[in-house]
Amino acid sequence: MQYQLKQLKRIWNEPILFAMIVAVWLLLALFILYPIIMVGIKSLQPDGENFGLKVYKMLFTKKYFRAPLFNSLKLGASVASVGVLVAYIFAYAITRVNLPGKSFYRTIATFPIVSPPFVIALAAILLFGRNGVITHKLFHDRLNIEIYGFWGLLIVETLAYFPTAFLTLEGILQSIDPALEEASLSLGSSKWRTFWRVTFPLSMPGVLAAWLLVFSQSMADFGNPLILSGNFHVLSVAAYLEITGSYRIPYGAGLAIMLLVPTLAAFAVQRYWLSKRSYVTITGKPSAMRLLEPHIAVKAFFTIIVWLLIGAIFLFYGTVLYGSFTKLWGVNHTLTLDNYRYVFDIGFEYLKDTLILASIATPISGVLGILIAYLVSRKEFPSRRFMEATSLLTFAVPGTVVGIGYLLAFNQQPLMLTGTALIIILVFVFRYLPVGVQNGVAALYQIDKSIEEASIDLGASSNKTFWKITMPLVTPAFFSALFYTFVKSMTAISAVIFVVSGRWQLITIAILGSVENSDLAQAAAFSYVLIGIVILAMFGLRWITNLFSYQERVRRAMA
Amino acid sequence: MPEIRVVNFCKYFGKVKAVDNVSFDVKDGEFVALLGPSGCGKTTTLLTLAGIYKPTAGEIYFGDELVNDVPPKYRSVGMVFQNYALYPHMNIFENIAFPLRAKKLPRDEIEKRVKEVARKLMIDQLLDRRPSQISGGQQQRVALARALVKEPAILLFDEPLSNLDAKLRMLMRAEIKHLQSELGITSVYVTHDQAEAMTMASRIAVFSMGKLVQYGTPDDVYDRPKNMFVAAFIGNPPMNFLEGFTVVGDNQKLHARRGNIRVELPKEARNRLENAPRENLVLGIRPEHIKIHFKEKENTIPGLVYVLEPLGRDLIVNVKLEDTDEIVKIFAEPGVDFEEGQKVYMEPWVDKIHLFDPQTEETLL
Repeated sequence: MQYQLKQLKRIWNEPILFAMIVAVWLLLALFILYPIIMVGIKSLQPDGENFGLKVYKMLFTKKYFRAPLFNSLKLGASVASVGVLVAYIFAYAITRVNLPGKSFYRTIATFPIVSPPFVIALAAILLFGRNGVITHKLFHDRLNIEIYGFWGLLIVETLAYFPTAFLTLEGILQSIDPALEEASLSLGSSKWRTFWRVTFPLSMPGVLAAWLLVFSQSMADFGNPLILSGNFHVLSVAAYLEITGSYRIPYGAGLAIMLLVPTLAAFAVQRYWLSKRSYVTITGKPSAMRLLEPHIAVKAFFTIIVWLLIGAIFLFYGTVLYGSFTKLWGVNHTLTLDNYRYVFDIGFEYLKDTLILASIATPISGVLGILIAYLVSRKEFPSRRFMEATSLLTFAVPGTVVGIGYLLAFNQQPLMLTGTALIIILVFVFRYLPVGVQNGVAALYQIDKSIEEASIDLGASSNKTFWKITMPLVTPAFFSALFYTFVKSMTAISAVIFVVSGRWQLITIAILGSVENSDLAQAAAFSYVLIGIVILAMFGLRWITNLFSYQERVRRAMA
Repeated sequence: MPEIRVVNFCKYFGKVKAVDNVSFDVKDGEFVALLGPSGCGKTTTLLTLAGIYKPTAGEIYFGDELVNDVPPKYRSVGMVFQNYALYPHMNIFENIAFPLRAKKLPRDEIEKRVKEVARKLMIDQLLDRRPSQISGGQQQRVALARALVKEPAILLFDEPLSNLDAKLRMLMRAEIKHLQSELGITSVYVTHDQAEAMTMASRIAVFSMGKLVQYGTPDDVYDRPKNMFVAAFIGNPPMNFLEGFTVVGDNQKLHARRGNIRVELPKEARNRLENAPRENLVLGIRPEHIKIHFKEKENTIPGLVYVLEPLGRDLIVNVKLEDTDEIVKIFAEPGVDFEEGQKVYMEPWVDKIHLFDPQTEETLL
């Protein structure tokens, strides 16, 4: 207590810092905590006014409401299990097996992370749907594949979310000291035993983390189930339909809470429990990649799995690309540019609005993220940890919950924001804030405090130190946060679908509309324009990062 | 116990020649050190002996058996790693039992052997702990116990002491040497610490950039280094090098000369330098092979005392040459007082002088 008082006193002496902390807290409370709390409150007001537990009673007793919860959990667990298995094999192949063309496989495998969320679902329909090339053309409807429902979603979400698990597992597998595996071999174990007794147990924390991550992503997924779920209702879509279809806000809010609880729990377990159980040790010796030279059959196994995955990604994305140039998918496959003409003609408004809104939100989110990162990692003040946790909260909160929250929170005076561009921008800013915070904290963590202290010691002011020393060092983190926010804003759907209005249109909403009208070719063209923008942004990021990164500047200075 | 023979061994990673045409042998029960800076190929050689890497070319024999394609499991090799490579998810008992479980020995046999080796290494009270709960020195013992428990025919060490503090390192150095000679296990020991190699090994293989530069007893590599690299790498402080000497001489004696400096060369120089270049050579003298005089004398190198480094038992005098600013380090005789800035005359021991050709870096004398 006395310590905190002392902290408080010190902050009093720095009015600018104090003002910043208060301002950040106001923003976080208003745009992150308040909407979520509103969802909770509304779910406790069955008739819109008086408090009661009727909504939850119904949610647990009526089969109509119980099914989505059960389905979401079942789908989430299945996607997580299959996705992690696939991702583990993939990550093992990349980090341990001497396959040629690794960086290529890696790039392709991470593509679903940055692509619009429902492109894979769209591809699934083009391939396996009622007019799908495989089901309809290739097998003439004799192949009985039901793409709408659990199995379709399992395949689509596995492809969409295994890359996240892959990145986590790759990091874990890379950080295991190769000497541990070599020791096992030299101590008389076979490679098989080495894997099961050493590699796998050591990567177990990573496996659990990846599982929880994919589980949450699948639970929170909105775009794919909206297109593909058929009669297999999941929570996110059920909540959306409750609110926008049946106008039963308390029930929508209740379903959203059902969605929030498991994802928050998964997040908490992963962040506060699992992270302490990591075996990964940073050793002095550079853990140079020492690739094992596996048996030819083992190598063949990994090669086949990797090719299958890469092949599936190519097939899905290739199909959508092809589809974007066809007249009417499944019926008339004449090549045409009509779809793109439509996108740049009638769809131009969508494109323009999305670009404007994302471009406004991106820098705000990035700057705010870095600012929070700087405050929580470099300054001492009460509620510091809580500020970090709050700013990271939207990582764990499904978009559907955020969207419903904003809809409920900003629908009345004095904060009447519904229908404005501002509310969409706010959704973008605060939804993707965690990446800026996390990147910033990670970058600042790597920069030893003594580097900043040296600058102050050498006579630079605290302000100058921030701009001349700290900022350049976190620049790469800042730009990658910008990129992430921009891409995610461009491709967002689950939260914004609740707050869009006639005045401001988003490209993802247009794609959904096209899919609903069975204009699949149009949807495909829209998707590829979006993918094009994402790829451009990616090159832009690389260029800017190179321009500003201090390593690059050192390199040029030396040349 | 088998002897090890490495014949024309090469290991390439893509285009990188990690080890290039290396041959050496280790006698039965011998303790050999592979010495060199990081990236010189010594660890790659060791991992190939362990069977974790396969040679790109060449042969490796254990006794009469060609083991190029024998997997590590069947090699009867125990290995101790730099970071100990203990398993954080197992306790000490399980760590030591790991190779025995791989062999599927019966439970009581495993328990007996683990306890036996733990007692020998004085870690029997730690068996329930986890690696993170014991000290670095104890971890080192556990790693050693784990390598020894399966009673290997060959022991391989990969810089096992480099993570320990200086005091503990000295202690373990003696202990490993004692243990090795007691058990008589053929051992190969990788290190970048020349003191470790000198004190522990019966022969030292000096590696540089993937090649085996010199292989011989500690005295061999110390007194008769094959080239400047070995001369500079072995010895602490390292050998002093002075550049730009010319060999001159009459019928009686040869001298190395640079400007006003003239140093007498030993008798055998006449034969050994017969076909060697004579100009622009590098003179090498170890710090303990220089006598310091306070009065001018023939065959000495004048200089000013630059700084003194007392080590307790020894005193290192740094002398700066006035014209070239080169610094020469000398182990001074005890009991003599020096002052910084004092003029001194350095007399190298005639029969301990080395000459190198700076072009090839080969030893001429």
